[in-house]
Amino acid sequence: MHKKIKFWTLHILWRHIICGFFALFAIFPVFFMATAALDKYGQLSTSRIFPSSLSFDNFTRLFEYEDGAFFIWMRNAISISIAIALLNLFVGTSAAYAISRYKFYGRRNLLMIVVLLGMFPTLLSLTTLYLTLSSIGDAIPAIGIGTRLGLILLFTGGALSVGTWFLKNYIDSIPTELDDAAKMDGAHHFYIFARIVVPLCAPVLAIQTLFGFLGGLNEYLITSIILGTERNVTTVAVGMQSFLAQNAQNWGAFAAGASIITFPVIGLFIYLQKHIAAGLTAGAVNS
Amino acid sequence: MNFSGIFAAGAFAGQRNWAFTFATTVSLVVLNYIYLIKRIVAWKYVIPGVLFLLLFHAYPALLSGYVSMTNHSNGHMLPKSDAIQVILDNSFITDKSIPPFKMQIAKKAKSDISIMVLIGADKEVFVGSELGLRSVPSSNYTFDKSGLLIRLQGYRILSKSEIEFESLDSLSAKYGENSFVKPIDLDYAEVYGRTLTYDEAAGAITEIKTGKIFHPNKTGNMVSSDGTVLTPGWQEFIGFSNYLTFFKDPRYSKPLVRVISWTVANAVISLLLSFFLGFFLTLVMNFEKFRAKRFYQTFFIIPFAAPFTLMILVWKGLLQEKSGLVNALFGTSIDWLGDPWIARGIVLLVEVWASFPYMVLITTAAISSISKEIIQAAEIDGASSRQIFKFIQLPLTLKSIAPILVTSFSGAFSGFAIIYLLTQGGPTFSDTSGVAGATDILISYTYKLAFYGGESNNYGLASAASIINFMFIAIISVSAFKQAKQLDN
Repeated sequence: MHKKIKFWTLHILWRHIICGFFALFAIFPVFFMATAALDKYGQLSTSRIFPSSLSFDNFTRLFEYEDGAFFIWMRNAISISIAIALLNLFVGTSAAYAISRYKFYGRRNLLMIVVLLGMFPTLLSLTTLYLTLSSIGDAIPAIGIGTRLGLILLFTGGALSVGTWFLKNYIDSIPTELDDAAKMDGAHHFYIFARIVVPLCAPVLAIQTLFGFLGGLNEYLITSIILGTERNVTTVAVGMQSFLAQNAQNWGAFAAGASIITFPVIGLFIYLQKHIAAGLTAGAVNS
Repeated sequence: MNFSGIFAAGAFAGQRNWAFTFATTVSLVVLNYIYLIKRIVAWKYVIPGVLFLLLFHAYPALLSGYVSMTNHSNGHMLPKSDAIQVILDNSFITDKSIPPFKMQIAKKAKSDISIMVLIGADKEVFVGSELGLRSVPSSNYTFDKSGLLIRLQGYRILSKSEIEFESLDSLSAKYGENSFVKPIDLDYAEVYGRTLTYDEAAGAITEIKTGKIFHPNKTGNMVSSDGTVLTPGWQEFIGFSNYLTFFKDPRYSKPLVRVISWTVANAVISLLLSFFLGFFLTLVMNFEKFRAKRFYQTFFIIPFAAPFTLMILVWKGLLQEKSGLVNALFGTSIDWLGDPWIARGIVLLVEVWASFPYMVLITTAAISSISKEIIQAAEIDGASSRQIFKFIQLPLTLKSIAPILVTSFSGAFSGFAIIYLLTQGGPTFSDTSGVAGATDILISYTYKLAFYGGESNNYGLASAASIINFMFIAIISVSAFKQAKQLDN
């Protein structure tokens, strides 16, 4: 018994101290956001750690803002993000499949161009991106500035990225014998893609799609430039930022909204913890 | 698909956007070729991504490259022909030598179009039109006692209450070769004379009164020999001048050096700190008897999961000087974001907070992929745990996550959201005149040059800054990728 305690203090205790410290660091702002949301006088500036008295006033105040603008922002953000994630999934996966399985002319250059362009952040060409989309919009108003469809298509421009390269590495690791066997049986190339390769990548693709979805949910700057703050089209990230800009003293309601978005995502990540690590590192970590 | 493609091409052609019409047509031909020919299976899978990449990534990037060689900025937004048109339109001023006309508005019988009826000083009556002023014979009109027209043959005279005020703007009648009559209010119209003329053949503008000639200069303005400049200017190709500005003009070169240093330092330090913190925590948790590993991992995933843009705003609230929680907790009253060095430290802290969980995730994956046998063999050979770390775990982990580190680096290099939402790049340098601040990285500085400058928004200069930024990332990443490949072999 004594020996056990000695072992524990020597080898385990300090690990708890270090991990505990950084665990507190990790949850500090998230915890505080929740407190501010639930505090009756809830303002991030009340500078209390624990709420003085619990109430949902902040949530009510947020929901009443501009006749439920929050729900419209949420609906927009979710539908836009789903569209972006699915389009990127389809476009990116099919490209990774072709680059992995076919030795076609221009393959290496394509990869180089994709990786190089990836280093030119979309943000840097913000002005020219705006000009591009507005000249498209002059001809086809349905996909111009201020339209959700235009924004979705714009983000599809990022479907080929360093991620494609990682996915290609992952597909490389799937043995080609499966393809060959199917080919012998006379399978069409699309059948091989849809019925053999995609199912084998499914866990990775699911995680990448999740990240694509969250990326859309999170994106602030480009969305704010393309969609603006117009209540009916804009997303929750832009909406919340403009809410805060207009109601600087109303941190409580802001924290309430931020909590509504943040906690489900955190829950999802904790639930999928194992798969997330695997999905993140697939094709990227050379094992 | 063909139908919508042809529709799009038609729509672009309708807008006279020939570049896009051409691009759409070419894409359509390429798509048809690829999907109808059997042998090029691979491109059937790649082409949709490539087209989107070209339209929304490559084209804007190349366009930035072009804009960086122009003087595109406030005052130089228009193409040359439009700018000259604006200069000429602006050159109309009231001709004070001709007294204003009394004016009434009338409508032609059975028509809804308003016209000006002008009454000269000697009670002569004219009907104004684009063609000029038509004199009306005196038998065709009648004045009342107060001098107002009450009858005009073939026209219905409107009472003041019938006149739509907005319609006055569009009324104008030709007066002379270079002048017009326009209403100034409901009762009077004045003669406006053009002061400038444009000679298309010579490409020069002449001031009619003085005969002064304005010639186009190299930076997109019309300038006379005595140095008078006409505004607006137009977009002009100016080669590498924007790049030279950054190196020669002290207003830009002084902050740029600091901005670049901080950009590099920020990216390197935050990457190293979060990598080593993440790796350190992974090693601390990587101990068989340490059962709380899963428990702590759950905590460490939280900053990674939380939406970053919102969390930056939360951090900003926590760090407020007067009412922030951090100052209240520690009993301090520090202006966290107001002092250059403290603000830099805070930026690093928030970056590390946001990115160390990712490092925990990937180093955990990397370290668990190192086979147990290697480590056991080393232990049997009597290697200490420090030696195992130094010669096995560190190099193998580094090797396997090198590509991710390079990607993270270029991400940190252009981590705009944190700077923009947390500090806006501030505090602004007090010893330079520009917009740059202590925590500005290249990309936020670029953004400020393009959109913060107010009157002096300079897209050309901002594009040049973004190309410089791109060069940095590209050079560093390409050489890093090459190194990583060498590690592989």
